[in-house]
Amino acid sequence: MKITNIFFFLIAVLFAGSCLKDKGNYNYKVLPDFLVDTSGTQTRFEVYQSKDKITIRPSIVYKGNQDELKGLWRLYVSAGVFDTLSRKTAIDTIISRPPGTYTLEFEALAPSGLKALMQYTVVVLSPISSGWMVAYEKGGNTDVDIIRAPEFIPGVRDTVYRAAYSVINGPMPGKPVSIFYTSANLAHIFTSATGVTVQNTDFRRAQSWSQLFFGTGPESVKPEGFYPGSFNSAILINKGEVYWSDNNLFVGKITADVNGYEAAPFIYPQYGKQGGFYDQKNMRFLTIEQQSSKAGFYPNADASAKFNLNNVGKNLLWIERGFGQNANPVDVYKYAFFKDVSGPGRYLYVINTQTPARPDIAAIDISAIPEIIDARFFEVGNLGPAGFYSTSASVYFFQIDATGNKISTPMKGFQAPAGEEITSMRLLKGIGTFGVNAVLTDDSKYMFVATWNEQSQSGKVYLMSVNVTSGAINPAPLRIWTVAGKIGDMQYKRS
Amino acid sequence: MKTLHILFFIIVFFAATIACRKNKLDPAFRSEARISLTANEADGARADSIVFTFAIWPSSLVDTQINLYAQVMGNLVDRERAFKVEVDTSSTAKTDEYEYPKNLVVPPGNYRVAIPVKIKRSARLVNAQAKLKLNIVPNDNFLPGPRVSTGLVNSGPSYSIIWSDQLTKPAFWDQVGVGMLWTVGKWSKVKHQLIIDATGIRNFQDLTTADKYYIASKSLEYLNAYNAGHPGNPMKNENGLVIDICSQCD
Repeated sequence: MKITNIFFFLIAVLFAGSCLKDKGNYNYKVLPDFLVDTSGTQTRFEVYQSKDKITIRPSIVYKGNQDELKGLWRLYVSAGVFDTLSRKTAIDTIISRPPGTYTLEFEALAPSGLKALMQYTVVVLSPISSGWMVAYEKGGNTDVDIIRAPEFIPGVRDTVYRAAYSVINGPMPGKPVSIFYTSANLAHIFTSATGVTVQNTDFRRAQSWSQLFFGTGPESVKPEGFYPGSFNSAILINKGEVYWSDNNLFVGKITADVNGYEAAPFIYPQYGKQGGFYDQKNMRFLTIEQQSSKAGFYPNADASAKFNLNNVGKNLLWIERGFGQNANPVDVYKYAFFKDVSGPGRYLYVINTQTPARPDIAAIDISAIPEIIDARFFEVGNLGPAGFYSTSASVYFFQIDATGNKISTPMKGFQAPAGEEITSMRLLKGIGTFGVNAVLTDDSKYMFVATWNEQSQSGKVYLMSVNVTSGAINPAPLRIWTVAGKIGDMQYKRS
Repeated sequence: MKTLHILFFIIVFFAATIACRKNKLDPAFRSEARISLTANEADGARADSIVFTFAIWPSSLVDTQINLYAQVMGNLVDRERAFKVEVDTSSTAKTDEYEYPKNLVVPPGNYRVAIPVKIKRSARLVNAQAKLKLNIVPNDNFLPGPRVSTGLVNSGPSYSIIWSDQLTKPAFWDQVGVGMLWTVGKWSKVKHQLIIDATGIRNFQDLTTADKYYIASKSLEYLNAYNAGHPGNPMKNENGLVIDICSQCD
């Protein structure tokens, strides 16, 4: 009985003990107010990339000397990645991150170690959208204007971003050689003295000439042509040599055989290859294989063919993809203008590179057409059999009848005003996108003709509309813009 | 009744006491200590050997040091433990072509020690390979470790160093994704020398794709220039085959 009593007593003590409040052994203090007061202030900001400053002076509630506070501004780019923009309590800076919505975090730090946090939303807008890039020379340097007009970009106002390159990067030496939209991120610009890539969104330089090459680049800087290849690659022709790229770096130089080669400044796309080019030295076409610096060769054509890709025997004036294609594999026809090595002969070849034994879709002698001997620029449409050539004063159009192996009589579609000399002619085409078959809805419908007036030292860009089938150029320009220099190349930037 | 109560409380008391005892797991490794030989992947070791060639180094380099590592299995102990290695009879290296420390010890509290092996560039190695295979000899402290072949580098009771003064095929040459087979083609001494002459690059390990494209491009250019300068007599490898720089070619 006694033991039972002790047992119940112990139980009772345990019950009583469980009621005791655990106060712990910490010291508690009431902290002073320390916060970022955002009532009535702006917490969402929109800025143009690399252009506008973001300026925030947060109102900090703090009982103590405000000067002893430290700040930290961080722009969150992606998970675990942020830019530290400032270590002051106010921010006044340019955001150069690509367009998108970012979280900007402000942290105020008191000497006691206390922190106050605030998050803002920053929307970075693209300062430069799609548009027609016009590369021109002014004072020995190259600059770029970007033209937007409702004819080729639906719904926009007629606008021109002036001097888009130099505004953000400073001058680029040399005369323009080639400008190309290469990917959604980058455009390439080459001049007679250098080459760069720029971000499409703000035209900020991404790579300088030496940064374009893996290892040692070419011995001499002499860019002659540049084109996007078929497989997300970019191809550069520098001093007759062909360089191919991998992940935006030129990693390889094409080597052909013991005969060597001297590349004409044009690259064409081809199914299953990075592209192809014409070897002026040995008068043959060579291909750029995938992921290899070893040039590919076309087999000789049948005796009945009108020409042989492996031995053309003529000088190339111009080549580009055009209308019509090989069925299987799908590969667009290439249109090439040739001239005799000596003499006035001029030729238009329509080439199917998938059937090298019979590559001759057409081989037309065009020696007799007007002013062809003085032709400086050439174009063909993607949507129809339209062809164009330009002298320094006139643009002619014609229609190609590949089956009949003839062309229609060329008609003059544009005449440069007195004092103006044509310095570039380009169709807005889908050539700049990857893959060999990209034909876009705005393809081949608009022609841009650039002129230069030596006397008034001013350039002009004429926007002409074109019939995709007949090539007929509407003689009244849709728009005319004035540009500050002599235009060397133009191309469409799609984003 | 009373006896029952007492009995009950005694049982509860004992049960309670036992419940309070901390359950100690035995942390000890209760087996014989063992020791294995291995080498570093970063030094070029693959599987059961490490391969070195003097050929890619200037002739002023007369010897070099290759580190093998002895790795202990078992408990760390607070005293120094000696271990012993011996040269396997299958070794082809001459005794004056290498040196390694004879008194090897695992210092107190250590589980991995380097065995610095000095290998020498003797004249005969221009046309021959030297192989030094070291075995763990059991002693009072250690038994030989088991052969473990997971990963790129093995560890086990023996490890080999193979060296020569001729270009040797890097072990990773044909390895998918890592090797050079798909950019410059099949390995040969002549092609190996060509790449060194064309690019100055000696080490083909851990290269990026861009590195390999660049090496292939420079080597192809070099080969083409050589062939253009030797009409009708293109560069051939040591087996007499005409060489080229392309994916999986000779």
